[in-house]
Amino acid sequence: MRGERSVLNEAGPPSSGPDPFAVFGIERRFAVDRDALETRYRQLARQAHPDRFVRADARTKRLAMQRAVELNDAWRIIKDPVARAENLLLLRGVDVTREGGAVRVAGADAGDPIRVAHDLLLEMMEKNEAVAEAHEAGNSAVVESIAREAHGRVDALMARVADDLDSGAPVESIAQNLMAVRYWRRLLEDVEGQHG
Amino acid sequence: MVEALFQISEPGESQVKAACKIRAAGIDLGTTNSLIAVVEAGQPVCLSDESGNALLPSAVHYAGTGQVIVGGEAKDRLAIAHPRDTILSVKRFMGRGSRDTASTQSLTPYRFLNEPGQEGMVRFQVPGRVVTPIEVSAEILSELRRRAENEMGGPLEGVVITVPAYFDDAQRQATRDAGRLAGLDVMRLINEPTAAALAYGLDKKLDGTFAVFDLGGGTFDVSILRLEAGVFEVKSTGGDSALGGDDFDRAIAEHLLLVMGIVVQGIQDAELSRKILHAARVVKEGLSSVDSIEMAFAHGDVNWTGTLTRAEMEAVVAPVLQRCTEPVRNVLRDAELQMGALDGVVLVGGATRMPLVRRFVAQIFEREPLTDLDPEQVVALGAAVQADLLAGGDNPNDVVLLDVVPLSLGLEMMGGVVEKLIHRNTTIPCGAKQEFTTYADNQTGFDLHVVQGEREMVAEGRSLARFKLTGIPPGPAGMARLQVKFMVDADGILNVSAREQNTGKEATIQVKPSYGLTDEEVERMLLESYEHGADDVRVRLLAEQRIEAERILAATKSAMKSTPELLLPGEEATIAAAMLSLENNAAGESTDSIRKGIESLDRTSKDFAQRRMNRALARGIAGQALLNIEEKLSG
Repeated sequence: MRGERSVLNEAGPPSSGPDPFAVFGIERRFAVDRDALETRYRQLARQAHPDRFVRADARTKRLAMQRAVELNDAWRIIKDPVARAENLLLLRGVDVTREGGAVRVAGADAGDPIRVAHDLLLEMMEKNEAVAEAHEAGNSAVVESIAREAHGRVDALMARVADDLDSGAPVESIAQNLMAVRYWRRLLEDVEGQHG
Repeated sequence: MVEALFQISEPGESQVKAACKIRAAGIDLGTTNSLIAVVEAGQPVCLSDESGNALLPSAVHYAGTGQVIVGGEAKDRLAIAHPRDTILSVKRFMGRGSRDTASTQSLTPYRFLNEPGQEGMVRFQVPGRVVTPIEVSAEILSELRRRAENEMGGPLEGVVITVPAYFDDAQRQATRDAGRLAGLDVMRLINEPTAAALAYGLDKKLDGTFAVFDLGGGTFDVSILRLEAGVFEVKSTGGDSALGGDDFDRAIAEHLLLVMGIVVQGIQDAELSRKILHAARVVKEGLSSVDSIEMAFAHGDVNWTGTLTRAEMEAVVAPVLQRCTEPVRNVLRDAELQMGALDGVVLVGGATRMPLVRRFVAQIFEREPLTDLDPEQVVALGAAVQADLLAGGDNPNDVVLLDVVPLSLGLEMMGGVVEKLIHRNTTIPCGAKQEFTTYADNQTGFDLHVVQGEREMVAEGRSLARFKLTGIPPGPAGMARLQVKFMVDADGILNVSAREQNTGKEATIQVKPSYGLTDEEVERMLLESYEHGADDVRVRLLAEQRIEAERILAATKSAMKSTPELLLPGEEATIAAAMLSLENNAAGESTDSIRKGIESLDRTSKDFAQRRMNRALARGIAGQALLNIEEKLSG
């Protein structure tokens, strides 16, 4: 044990709490009425907020906090289209959030990977190189055009994912599209610079 | 007594109703000045000292006699006469290690126990003892507590203390501990910009999206908030926890030294650095209202007189102010907001009195900022409003604050990469679980390193804590399944627990150690503190434990009465036995046996409480309005 450091290796996805759709009492569909749900979230958040339990006993505080945590987590997933799509797919037995590609997490073939399409990997490598080159050359016009392209691709992919999820399309193709979204978003993060 | 204290109808569904409101106050524990405010007749007001000053300078002098002097006298007189023994701007050292504060330590006169850049918490050597920033802050809080208790004619029963939104976990912990050390029940820590918005929102009945630009003595915060129908939601927050008016002073001081031709010998000339910083502050404040200022400065063989213009000062300060630009851009982007969608910009902090700062804000936000409320009082006023809400008074406005995590929280992975479990700007309270496994064959333990920050690499983030989970049976790499849970409470404080799924081995920590005090240390300091005798402290701990016993007894009793159908056969009898035994313990004098009684009742009634919570949750989903449930239960 001595001298060993940073021995963690990622094994699984950030598992969320209870089904976020159930927390809001809505059907497991991609299409949601965001405004209505936001109002709903605010109502529920009011009821569950720890501020209402400041003078309660420790256990009530703990339980109330757990509930507030579940609610906030559910809302975080529901309000973000990509997180919502990923969660719906997870509920259908495929986790796309792991490093290195999607994995089946339920059923007889649990553990089987769904590999990232080769074409996508090639395309991303090209884009990353192009970004690196443009950065080096200080060519911000190229970087901006790649960013615009990435935004366009994410939007198009998400539109397809939205249709596929609610029409019961096979999970494999949805997983491919969602993995592509992840790659494009990562590229965007690099391009637009996550601040430190 | 038990019944009168409060009653819970259904956990999670109803508000805790207080029979009587407790005496509560809001505290702005600032870098330069601190304030305390209370709500009187529905309006928040700051409390003043005998001379009518609401601002208490955050200056603490430790005299050779053991006496501690806080406030104006310490700042104006003693800081010059005894620079080493008078601590100013202690907030900059809260939750910090010597290593982090190396840059801040230039031009400070203190005797640090650790050399700048060394490991360990910052500690100051003052006459006859060594004090931590937490203890220094506790002195300021005690002074404010005395002020409030004089005014209110009784003990202060609960407080809300504000912290910069950008404060990390260690800095929040340190603030909470300072409150405890000052004998205060800290009901909640809230973020300064949120408090400011609360003061404005309630006062002006504003609905909309606002930016709060808070430039205080030592910290800079900028937040985007949305106020709508009583819900204050923080959309994004950013800033720099080491940027403020003090940095202006330092820049001006360095400029003055240059102009005067004085060469500084590092931090050795304590008197000179204090004097020149003082002069810089006077210049800065003066030049906020006039265009030029005559000044004279004498030190050693230097005897300088000259004129300083506002333009000259602004040129010196402008580069420091520019550091605010990036955080402003970031919060707007994080909130997914266009500049035009903002409904207003609120100014907070003494440094925003400077015309240069106001011009900067107007320019970057493309609108004139709001300045109706005193920028130095607005945070304390908002904290008082929140304290009043939490104190269980009438709450016609029924306001709820939804705040966020300022900096992402994660774990160090193999190779020094950070795996983020909770991303910045996630609404609190929040939690996350993730599973990890072993990297090497026959690895029998996990070293968990909790990190805060946005960067990909551990070395660029802030180390919050390290802990170990050992005793994993040897096996091939990837066999063990470690589930790590992060939970951030409503104060923004992180708890981490880890459990190896195959063996059930568990470890829980409240993330503390790196640069904070352990609970034991706080308790020991409390017992040793000269202000309360050790006996007082024991009496208080006993009283606190008794209140907690009363709370859980009352809650359990009312739960059994209102939902007897959720009790399993035989459960009622075991819970009743645990209640009886706790009642007996609570009548006794032993804090420890009360604590044990609480734990035992908690254990026996845990499943019952969980069933109630589940049902409440199911009802919430079924869309029953809060009011209906309350009516049914109380009717």
